[in-house]
Amino acid sequence: MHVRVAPPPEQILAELSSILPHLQHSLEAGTAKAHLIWQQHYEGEEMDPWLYSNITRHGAKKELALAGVFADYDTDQLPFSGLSLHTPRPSENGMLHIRIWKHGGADWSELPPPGTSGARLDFFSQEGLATDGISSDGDWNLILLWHLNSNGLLDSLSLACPQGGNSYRAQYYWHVPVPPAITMVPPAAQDAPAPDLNLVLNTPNVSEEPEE
Amino acid sequence: MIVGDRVRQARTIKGLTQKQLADLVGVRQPAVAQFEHGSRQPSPETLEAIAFATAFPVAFFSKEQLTHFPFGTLLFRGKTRMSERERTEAHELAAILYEAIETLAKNIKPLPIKIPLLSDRRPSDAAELTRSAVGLSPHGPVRNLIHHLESAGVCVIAAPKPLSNRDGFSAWTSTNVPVIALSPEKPGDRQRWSATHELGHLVMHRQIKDTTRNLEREADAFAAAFLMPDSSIRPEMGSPTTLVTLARLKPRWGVSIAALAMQASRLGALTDGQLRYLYVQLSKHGWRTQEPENLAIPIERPRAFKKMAELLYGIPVDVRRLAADLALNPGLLKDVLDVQAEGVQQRAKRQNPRVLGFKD
Repeated sequence: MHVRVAPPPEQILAELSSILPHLQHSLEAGTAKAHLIWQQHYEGEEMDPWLYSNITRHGAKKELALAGVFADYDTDQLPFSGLSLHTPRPSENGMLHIRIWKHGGADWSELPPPGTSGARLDFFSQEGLATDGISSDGDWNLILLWHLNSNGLLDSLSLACPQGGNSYRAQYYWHVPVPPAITMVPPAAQDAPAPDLNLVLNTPNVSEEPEE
Repeated sequence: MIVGDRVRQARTIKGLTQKQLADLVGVRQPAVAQFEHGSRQPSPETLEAIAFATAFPVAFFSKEQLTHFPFGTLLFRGKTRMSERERTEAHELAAILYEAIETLAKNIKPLPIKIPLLSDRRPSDAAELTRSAVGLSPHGPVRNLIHHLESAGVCVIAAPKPLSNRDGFSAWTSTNVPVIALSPEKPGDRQRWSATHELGHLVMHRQIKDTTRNLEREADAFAAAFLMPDSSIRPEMGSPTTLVTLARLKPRWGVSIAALAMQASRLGALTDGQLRYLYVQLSKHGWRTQEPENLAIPIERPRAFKKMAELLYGIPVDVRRLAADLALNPGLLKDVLDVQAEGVQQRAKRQNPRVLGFKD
């Protein structure tokens, strides 16, 4: 049997470093939108987590599109009210298939279980990877979870590489926090240096010229 | 014959009390008080001992003071508390450095002072007029802020050691020179904010007509409008404005994320709730005090003092002769020169050291 070894999280985070700031921005924007709509239309009512998640993903999808990142509603086989996107790996052959879901559990490290859905079990066990029917050893399924704070706004993101599971419990190779996106924003480009200050002598030099 | 104030200056900059100085030089405290008051002259041996204890040359103590250098905004109530002793120490250090600049400037063609006096304008209007007066376009980020200030005749002093717990302060001297003194090694965005905040005081508050708390608010509003003009920055804030949006704007505008968030809130790009959320996010990661390394803004350094020294004492500056002419400690002057900007040629030389080739 062919045993697969999951790439380390540092490698995957590095491979995703150009896309993660867009994902964080879009989810921050999406949760802010959901928060605002809830305040405007449903103030005082108990929060409907499904509606809230759907408004969030709608807002996030729009923001991602503005940044040129194509994400689709995750409704095809995995109805988690999330988004899915597929991105080629920059340093390896293969694709990263990312499902973006809301973290629902109380425990940070907890992943949503795959349940009984065959499609979801395949996704968790790293089967059924390819969108085009062709998969390679470099293909990996990943789960990006967005964690909310007590006000319903984005608190943080975490990334997991699932390994399998059952109705009650998910198994994963690793599950790590995603570094805040602002730490990945490229540094400032060096400004053109200022021209020298336009100062000139107005009287004969009080001191002798220095020796050569 | 010594000038009493010089003993007080040297002692204060060294951070000594009269009693501590007295113990170091082998006299009683009232004697030091009398030296400082000018009612008694120290013996040559005592003067040598005072010079040694304070690290100032003997000649310094007989130098007449040139210009009255006021406390200026050091008297304002800042964000952090400052004891009388700390205030005096910061003031004396800046006063000595200003005097050194003033001495060298006697041999230099002066730059015209272009900053306006706008005591009756709103901070945003004053900022717009000041940008225009110093030759900046009304739109876009301010690059090389310190260079623009110096070119507009503002004397910018980079202190070689912290001005107590203040980022900076400003004053108009008795000879009508606008001065901004800045503490060293603050993050670049914070230094630019402090310099612009002090510029706001120079432009709007030469005559104090309000409580210092309100004056501080006005100076902050001036800094925000000067560094981030509403009409240019609003379209860049996008909608919705997130932490990532602001982080991307920081390198371009050279201001902190916290300042960008405040401006976004003022311009209606953020609700109060979103502003609170951003601040919570910044606090959670400790970014209220130190924003992420990757977003660091380079520190800008003033140039005038070093340029004048180069014109008068060569490149590299002959610090020994400069110190002798200014009656200051060469070590102090070297520290001051080290926190000044290099000229274009020296910078190019340092970045591209000459490669020695084979002879043809």
